[in-house]
Parts: sequence; structure tokens; C-alpha cells
Amino acid sequence: MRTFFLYFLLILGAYLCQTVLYPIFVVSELRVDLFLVLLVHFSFSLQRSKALVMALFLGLLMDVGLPLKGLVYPLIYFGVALLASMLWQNLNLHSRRYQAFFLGLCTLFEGVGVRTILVLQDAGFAETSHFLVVLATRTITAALVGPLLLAGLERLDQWLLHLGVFRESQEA
Amino acid sequence: MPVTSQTRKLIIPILIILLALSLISANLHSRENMSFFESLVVGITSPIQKVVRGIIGGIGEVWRGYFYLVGTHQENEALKRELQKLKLQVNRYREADLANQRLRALLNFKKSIATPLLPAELVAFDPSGWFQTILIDKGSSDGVAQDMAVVSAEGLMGRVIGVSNHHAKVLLILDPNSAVDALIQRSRVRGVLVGLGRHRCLLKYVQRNEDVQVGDRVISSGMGGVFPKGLLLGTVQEVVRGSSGLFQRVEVEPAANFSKLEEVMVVIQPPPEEPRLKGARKRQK
Repeated sequence: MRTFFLYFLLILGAYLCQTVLYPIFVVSELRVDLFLVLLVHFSFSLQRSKALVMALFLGLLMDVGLPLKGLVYPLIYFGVALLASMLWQNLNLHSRRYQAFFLGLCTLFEGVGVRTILVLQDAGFAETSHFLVVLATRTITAALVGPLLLAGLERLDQWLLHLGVFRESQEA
Repeated sequence: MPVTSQTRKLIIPILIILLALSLISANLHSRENMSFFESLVVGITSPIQKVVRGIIGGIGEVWRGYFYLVGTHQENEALKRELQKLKLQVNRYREADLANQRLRALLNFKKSIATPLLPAELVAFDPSGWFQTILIDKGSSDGVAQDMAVVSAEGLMGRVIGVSNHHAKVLLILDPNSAVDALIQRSRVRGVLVGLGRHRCLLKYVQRNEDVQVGDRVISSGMGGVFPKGLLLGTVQEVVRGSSGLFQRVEVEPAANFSKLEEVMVVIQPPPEEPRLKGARKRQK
């Protein structure tokens, strides 16, 4: 229950950042998708099934403000969570450099996914040049800042474990 | 027959892809009303979002009220001069408006009724950052419906794309998914205003030989079937006529200030029905 409450607080904090604070303080090109970072963290630290459920939940939350039809973000996040949990076992994603690469790749995947769905739905879309600039900047920002955020989340987990808020099995 | 590990590895991705495709197709119907989950999320988070926005606004007020007063006197003087000029202008416009009303009455035009406006507060922005949508604190219980125009004191902001009981989702004209049938006020040249996603819009499909100049005001034409006629959209910032091609590139700066969004107004009136659609319906009958 405590774990659930903590995760709820984390997700709520990220949601508020993205819907209220980000648009005021952070330019669009430099935004790191906090949900993506949280999702990667959950995929690394939770069982795959739980991570996938989290992916669906985070995706549904993200979908609330979108003008698109269909469950766009749940599907994108589902793919990311699946990939992250598989690669965590098979590749050395403990390394911050690999994490940077992985987060950059996921941001790229997210942007291309959204763009593809826009094209498929025959919706209007931003000029390609502008889209590519935003995508490239976001990818680089995610690769640079993402591992730091992941490290912060890991530190938070360890701290909570130390305080006895998390059970030992959670960390395992 | 026992399911081998390889078969399982093949079956799981296939199932996931099928699930993904079915989820997409199941949700491809029009999202006029927000889903139960969306309404729930908005209902839970909007009070918190309002509080956070209030706190940030309060801090901003303190900053602007006490620490950011350098040069206020000069600015005040300049604004007073500007106000004098504007007063004169307003007087002229009032005269023109009266003349317009008299002429309309003479020509037996339908009397124009003041459009009812519903003030609403901004609750949140699009969380993904890829789109230009906002959430406002008025919904179907306040009379807000799909496709109603949303305006500010400066000009048109967007249209309602989703409604729940107490909230509505608004697609801003900055979003590349938005398209508004528009007119250049001076020369009556028509085009379609689409968002560029970065505080700029593009007036598309304006032919190369049409008369468009920097500084021209762009208004809604009322032909799209969604926005009332005559709403100010913005001013022309850049006109580029390339050496080839049918159309010129007309960049427009929106009149509404999207970086200082606080309060908006929803135009509470059914969108005008397009004559073409009426005709089509008659034919269908």
C-alpha cells in the first residue's frame, strides 16, 4: 500500500510538472518526458507484468490531453516498457552511458510514433524541418538529463528502502 | 501438443500486435466526449493543477509587483500617450460602427445578436509537449459543446475538441492539427490558417498573384462551419513568393497571447452550418 502511494505521488508529481510547470518554464524543445523516465525506471525495478500495467496507466494519463484518436501513448509506452524490461535482462543497462543511449532512443521512438499516427490519421502535422529540430533536441536532452533523473530515482528507492518504506523484495 | 519455448516466443509478440491493433481500431471513433477514464483523471487532478497554478501565479505577482518595477514610470508615460491615441481611434470606430448599424437596418439585414461568452479558466496544458491543447474548467454542464470557438480579448484561441461534465479540451490554433478558414481583412483574400506549433501560424493556399502584405489583419471567414465570422486571428508577419509554385507562403502571428494564457472565453453558440452540408443532407434525404 505504501509503495502504491509513493508511486502515485511520483506519477502525480510528474503529471503536474508536465501539465502545469513545463509549459510555463521549459521550452518545448528541451522537455524531457518524465513519464518516459519513470516508465524506464519501473521497467528496470519492477517485474515485467507490473511494468506493463504501469505503462498502460501512464499512457492513459498522457492520452488525456491529446487531440489524437486511439490509444496512442499506452501503445508507445507499452512498447518501451517491454523493450526496457527485456533489454535490462540481456544488455548492460546498469551503465549510465547505455541508459543515455536507451532513453534517447525511446524519445526518438516516441516522436516518430506520434508523427506516424498523425500521418496515418491524416491529421495536420508540423512542418518536417521543425519536427526534426524538436525531435533531435528532445532526443539529446533526454540522453543527457534522463540518466541523471534515473539515478535520482534509484537513490530515492535506496533511501526509502533504508527507511523501511520499501520491502526488500521490491528492490530485488 | 506441448507448447515449446520458441512457439511461445512467437505467440506473445503476435498477441501483443493484435491487441495493439484492436485497441487502435476500437478507439478510432470520434472522441467528442471524454472517456470515463479521462473524466476521472481530469476530475482528480484539476483541483491540484489549479492550486499549483495559483501558487505559481502568486509568486509571479509578487515578482512583478515588487521586484520588477524598473522603468515603470517611463512605461507608464508611454502607455498614457498610447491610450490617448487609442481613445481617438475608438471614437472613430464607434462612429463607423453606428454608421454600419444604420446601414444594416436600412438594408433589412438580420439584426446581429451579441454572442454569449462563457468565461473559463485554464487548468492544464497537453502533457506530451507534442501538441498545443489546453484543458479549461467549463464543461457540458455549463453549456460547452464540441466545436465551440474559444477566444480571448485579443482574438481567436481555438476550438473545443472534447467535453466532460465540468471540463473541456481545447485545440489551440497553434497546433498543426488546427485549420481555420480565414480572410485577409483588407483585400478579402481567402486561405486556410494552420498552426506551425511554435507561436506562429501559416496561411495556406493563398495564390501567388493575390494581394497580401506584411501587417495585414487575418480574420475568420465563417466558412469552415466551426468559427463565427470576423474573429481576429492574427497579423501577417512574413510573405514569401518563391520563384515557382502556385501559392505564396504567408506566415501569421496569432493575435492571442498564448504565452500568458490565464482566462479564456467560450463562444456559446452552435457553429454555423455550412450551406454545402445542408445541400448534401437534402440530397441524402
